[in-house]
Amino acid sequence: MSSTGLLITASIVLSFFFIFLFLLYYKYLSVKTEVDVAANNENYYDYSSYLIDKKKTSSAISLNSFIMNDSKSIGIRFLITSIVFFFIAGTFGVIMRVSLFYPHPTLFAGKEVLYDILTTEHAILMIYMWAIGSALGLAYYLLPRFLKLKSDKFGNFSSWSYWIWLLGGIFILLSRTSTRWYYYPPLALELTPYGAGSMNWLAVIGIEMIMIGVTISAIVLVRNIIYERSDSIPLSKMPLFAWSVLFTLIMFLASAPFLMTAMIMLFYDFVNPVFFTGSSSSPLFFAELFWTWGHPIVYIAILPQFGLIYEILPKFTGNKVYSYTSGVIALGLLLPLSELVWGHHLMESGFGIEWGLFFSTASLFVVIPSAITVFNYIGTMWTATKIRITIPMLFVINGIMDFVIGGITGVITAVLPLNEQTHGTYWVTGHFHFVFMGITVGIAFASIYMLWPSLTGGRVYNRRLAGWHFALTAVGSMIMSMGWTVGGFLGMPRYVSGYFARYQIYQDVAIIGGVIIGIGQLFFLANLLLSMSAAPQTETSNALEDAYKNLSMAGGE
Amino acid sequence: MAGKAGIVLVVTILLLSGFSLLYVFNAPTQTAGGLTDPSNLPVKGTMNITIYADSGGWNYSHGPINPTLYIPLDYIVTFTVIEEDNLPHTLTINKGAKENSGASLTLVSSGQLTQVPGHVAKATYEFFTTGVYTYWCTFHPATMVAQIQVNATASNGTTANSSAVNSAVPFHSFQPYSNFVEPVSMMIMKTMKTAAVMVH
Ligand code: HEM
Ligand SMILES: [Cu+2]
Ligand SMILES: [Cu+2]
Repeated sequence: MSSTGLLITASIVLSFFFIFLFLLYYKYLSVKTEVDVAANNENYYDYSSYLIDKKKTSSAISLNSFIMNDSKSIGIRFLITSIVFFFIAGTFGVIMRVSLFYPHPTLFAGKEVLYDILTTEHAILMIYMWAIGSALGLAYYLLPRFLKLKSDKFGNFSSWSYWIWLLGGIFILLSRTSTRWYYYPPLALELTPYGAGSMNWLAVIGIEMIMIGVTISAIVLVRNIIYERSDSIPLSKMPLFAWSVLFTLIMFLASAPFLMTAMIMLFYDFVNPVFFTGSSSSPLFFAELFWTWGHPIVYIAILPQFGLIYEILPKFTGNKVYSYTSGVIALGLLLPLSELVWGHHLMESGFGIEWGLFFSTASLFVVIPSAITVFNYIGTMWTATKIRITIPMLFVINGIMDFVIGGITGVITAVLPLNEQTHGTYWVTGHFHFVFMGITVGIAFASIYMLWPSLTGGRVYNRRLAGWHFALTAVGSMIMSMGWTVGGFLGMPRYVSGYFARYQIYQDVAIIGGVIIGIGQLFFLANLLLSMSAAPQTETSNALEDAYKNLSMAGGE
Repeated sequence: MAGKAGIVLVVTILLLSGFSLLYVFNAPTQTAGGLTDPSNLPVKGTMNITIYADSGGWNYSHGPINPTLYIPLDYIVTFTVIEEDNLPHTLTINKGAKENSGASLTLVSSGQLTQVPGHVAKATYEFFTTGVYTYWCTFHPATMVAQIQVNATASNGTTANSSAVNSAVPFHSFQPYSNFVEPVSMMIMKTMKTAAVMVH
């Protein structure tokens, strides 16, 4: 590229950027002045608390959500951004799936490395941007009402956290890394197109920023839950969603340092490889650091949704959660237990049979709290006199079912001898997609549908479109994950852009499922478009936020 | 407000998904642009090309500037690069009529060619696919840039053992690197040039 052209382009881009920043700042000032004046008139120091007290919540999607620093706005920010990244990473996923139609690479023939980039980006963006982002978004959005917050300070920190997290995600995307989501050295250190991608260093920085951003949010939220909770809500009456967020964030804060340290060491290794690839060190050391974080993160991606199920279910069954205490205990047990099982990702690494047995056994213990939770859901539905089947409820039921399958496949693969067969195959992919599609995706959408009137300023969603969205997502993910699980049990390797012809039937079944899921998400977009361009029709309140009115049979939509 | 927000949101989602996909599809998929010589290439002959490295342009003070080089397929070419000024230069090639640093191969680096005028560095390379290549200097990409034409037959006006100057291409001061911004930056360049003329 010529340097003149580069300079000119850079200056054009920069000027647009500055104009944009200026407009944003202008908007920020005017909006902030307005609420500040209003809050001042009522003798409030910070406008966030004023907004909460006056129930003048900025709860609808708008540009102001990106400018104001109260909890609701921060929540909407995280939610919107995570949805955007869900679609970006989803597109990657569908393309990846379609490219596997024939055993030999066709779409990516001669440039198979594109497949590696797509898998890596798909995984990292889905986990760090969609799963964590949507969970944080819902936590910020729901907790003020759930906890009747005394004050809503530290919005600035949350705002910083959001922007750092977003920039980290953008860096990940820009880096076009192909290092897999676990960054194993020495591959991660090879900055070539057929290594980890020429810009993998940027992905390392990106992950570090994401972790820093989420850490800030985690601290603010934990602080809100513990100190800012209204005195009228003792811990023993705290909604289960708040419990699940608390446990999730503690789990995050306990295991994130492992990844952050590992990433700093990895970054140093770009310059001077001493930590993981030197003569007195071992790449396995990195793998251990990574998975000490890597297993907790998969639970971080579902625990908040577990809590949400506890909040959504009673709205449609009309009774209380079957057992509040066992619900809290189960969520709490998942915390220490899932910190202890990370080794089940490394059972074929040769770290010793004793460790293998330990982690295999520990993994079986995780079943206990998981099963308590599932039976708690079933108990709630079992004891209901009448269950109202709505879109969110369908998502919840499907999520519970998917989690049971995903859990069983997880337990099977955690058994030491069986892991030898399933490790590195599509069985694992099937296992976690059952859980992710059913719980992380399904429950997030269930909550979004429940929050619809608030998020869109009084619109109702189109039930037919939402029904299609649900049906295609549920059926598609069942087909896709089943194709993978069965093929994987027969030895179909994962993470490759081509495969042996005898597996074609499983791959093609999974493609059908993947395409169905992709089409299903378009119905969600259509719904957004249609319902939001219609005139407001209802109140802007929603049933999900009424955490203390469980018995409202009419609530929900 | 929220009505517009819905449209904005959906359009943003679709656009960003599409752009991200395009962006990933444009990732470099080969080391050195796939230009590294594979082993066991057939060799049909050899030829020498001598070229002077000067920040004003290749062969700046030796005949036509930035000459197009005509090279037959499967010939082992020995490039002799001679330092003219005391600035760092590289001899870098890539496939295509424009510079593409993401898929380029540097034959002579600034470390091999010292900054002492008259210093000579040599490199051999065999072009194994036909088509248009670009050769350039990564330090002076605006001035030191020209094309290489690789043909299947040795007939096409090949001048082996010479400076390989057949036709001088016009002096390229500006090589837009992306079709996306080309029109805009071209327009601005033109305006700036006109303004400069008017000031003089
Ligand atoms: C019921 C408890 C669970 C058990 C016993 C379990 C067990 C396992 C085991 C043994 C593996 C490693 C397979 C291998 O690579 O050989 C694995 C992988 C994985 N699990 Fe689970 N799992 C459980 C729950 C979950 C949940 C709830 C999630 C996420 C929502 C999850 C997400 C994942 C992911 C993403 C991987 C793949 C990591 C990778 O290699 O890229 N698991 N699981
Ligand atoms: Cu695990
Ligand atoms: Cu030069």
